[in-house]
Order: sequence, then structure tokens, then C-alpha cells
Amino acid sequence: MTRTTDVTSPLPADRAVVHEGWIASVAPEDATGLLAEAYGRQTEKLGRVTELTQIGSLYPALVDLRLRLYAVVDDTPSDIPDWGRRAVALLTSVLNGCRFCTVGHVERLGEAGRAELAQAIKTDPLTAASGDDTVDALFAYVRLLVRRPGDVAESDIEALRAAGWDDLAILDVNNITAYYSYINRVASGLGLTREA
Amino acid sequence: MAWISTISPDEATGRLAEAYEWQSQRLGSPTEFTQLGSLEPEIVHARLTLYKASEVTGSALTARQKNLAGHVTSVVNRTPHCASRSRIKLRELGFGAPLLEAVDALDFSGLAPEEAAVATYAEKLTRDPGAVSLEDIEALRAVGLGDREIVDLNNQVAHLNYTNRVANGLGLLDEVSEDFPAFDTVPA
Repeated sequence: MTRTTDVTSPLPADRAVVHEGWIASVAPEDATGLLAEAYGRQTEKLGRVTELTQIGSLYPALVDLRLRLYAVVDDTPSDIPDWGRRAVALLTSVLNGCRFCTVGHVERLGEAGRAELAQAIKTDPLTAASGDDTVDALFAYVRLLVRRPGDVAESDIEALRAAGWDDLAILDVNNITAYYSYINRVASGLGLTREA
Repeated sequence: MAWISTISPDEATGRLAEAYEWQSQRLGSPTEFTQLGSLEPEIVHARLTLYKASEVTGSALTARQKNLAGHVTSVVNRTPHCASRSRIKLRELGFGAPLLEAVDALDFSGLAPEEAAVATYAEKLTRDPGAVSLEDIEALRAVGLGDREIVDLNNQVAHLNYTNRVANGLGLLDEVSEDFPAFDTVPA
């Protein structure tokens, strides 16, 4: 891999203004260089640059590398079904109180044919069940890892194995939950507090 | 020892070996944390490049402020592995034992106002992210932090909330030894 990202060059302040949130950010039409490139990748995929992506734009390298990590998180080849991965992302965001992220994840789980589950997680994240015991075992791990990471024990991993998940799936559910615990705090911590 | 299988440096090939090498150049081997993601080499790649970018943003946030924020995060999340690494850093940055003990107890009264504000934001964003408000940002501005420093601080705390959950969630619970070169974990 060639790492060309310049991680030490923040964007000049004169191109950053407050668009949304509590701090200045750079609008897509004002982006240049690495930031424009990162914005372009998201536009290609989604048709637009999300507010969440723009919120870190004072540091183009962070935008670029967060998006690259997101692509890896989204593409980990484990046996967790797509709807289950989307449900884990939603559950994490609801537990973290991130209204901004919750909206998008409700939509994504709905698009996977599980709109009812999405509403159940949004309404009662501590007890919502999917009807699939293997995915519900993931939910139990997620609830603990999000709310009380210091209490996770080897027995919680054994419970995932007992439900049929292999090590790659365990790495995957851990990574999705940890990643959204990161991104939820970027959104909530910088002012993306409305429902997206 | 982790609760899931990992690939050791001597077994790594291709993309994984390449990513391991970034860290080995300074440390002699990849960290235990890095190896936790090794069943999917792309995860290791993405984590290490983001980690480097997070550590060298170039904002005016001081090393003490930045590492304090990370340490408070790991303390709140009860992540012994990450907290043991940041404790070494804070010691090297001049935190004496009494002050460090107070910070470990989440008592920020002995800190300078700028550091206390940073620690307070870190604790709140970690403990209750949905409750962070504009007033919390204004409190950071009141002690002199600009937007770049706030973005840097937010990323540091948020990113540690990621890595803490990787460590705790996959069984990396042991503390590093007192002579661990904690500043050398950033990939070359």
C-alpha cells in the first residue's frame, strides 16, 4: 500500500466556515486536494457528502482515513448477515444517544427488509430482539460493549461462539460496535445533534 | 492473551506483513493491539493509518492536553491496557504521581484550567455522548481552544472510544510494563 496521505497539513482556515454543527467545516464546493478527493469518493457512492463527513474537514486526512476505515468496516467478509450488521450499527448508535446517526441506520435496516426491527431497536434498545437467536447473541455483546466496556469478559465471547459465530464474526461485531462508538462521538461531540 | 485467534508477526504475509512492518520499524514488532485485528488485514491497515493521522494532526493542542484526553477516556471506559500506555506518556510529560492518581480518580481539580476543560470534555463525551451540548464547546473556547483544537480533541476522545472497545471487547486486558516505549507506537 502506498500511503500518500499528508497527515500533518490541516486545511487553511480561510476556506472553513460554520455550515452545521458547532465548529467550522469546509463545504464540498470549497474543498480542494485530499479533501476534495475524499468528498468525491462519497459523492460517487451516495450522491452527496454527508454532514458527518464534513464535520471533521479542518483535517482532510481525518476525513479521508475515517472514510477508508468505514469502507473496511462495511466490507468485512464475516458470516454475519447484512441485516444483522446494520442492526448492530443501529443498536450502537441508539445506545450512544446519537440521534443524527440513528436516522440513517434506521433507513439502512429498513432497506434490508427489517423496518420493524429498526423501530423496535430505536424504541427499546435494551430489550429489542430480532427473532434470530444468533443475531440476538450479537445484540447482547453489543449492549455490554457500548455501555460498560470494562465489564466484557471471556464468557461473553464464549456466548458468541456458543451461538455459532467464528472468530472473524466476533472480530467483525466488535469492530462495527467500536467504530460506531467512535463515529457517534464525532457527531454528538461536534454538534450534529438533530435527527439527520 | 486475546480471546480470538490472531496472526503473529512471523506468520504474517502480504498486506498484513506490510502493515506490521510500519510499527516494527520503531518498536521492533507490532503491538498486541495491532495484532488483535489481524484476521482481516484491511482492518489493521485502516486502523494504523487512522491512528497515525490522529496522533499528528498538527493542532495547537499540547501533548499534555491530548494525552490527558486519551487517558481520561481509557479510565472512564475502564480499559487497563490503553490506560497503562497513556499513564506512561503522561508521566514522561511531567505529570507527578499525586496528580496522576487524582486524574485516575477523575478528580481534575489539580489541573490547569485548560487541562481541566479538556479532561471534563473527554469524560462527558465518553460517558454520555448524547448529552454533549454547545455549552461544553463554549467551555473549551473559554480556555483558548480554537476550532482546530476542538476537532483534534474530539477525534482523540472518540478514537480512544473505538480502541478501548477493541481492547476490552477482545480480551487485551493486561497492562504494559513500566518501560514500554509508549510514544513509539505511532507507525513510521
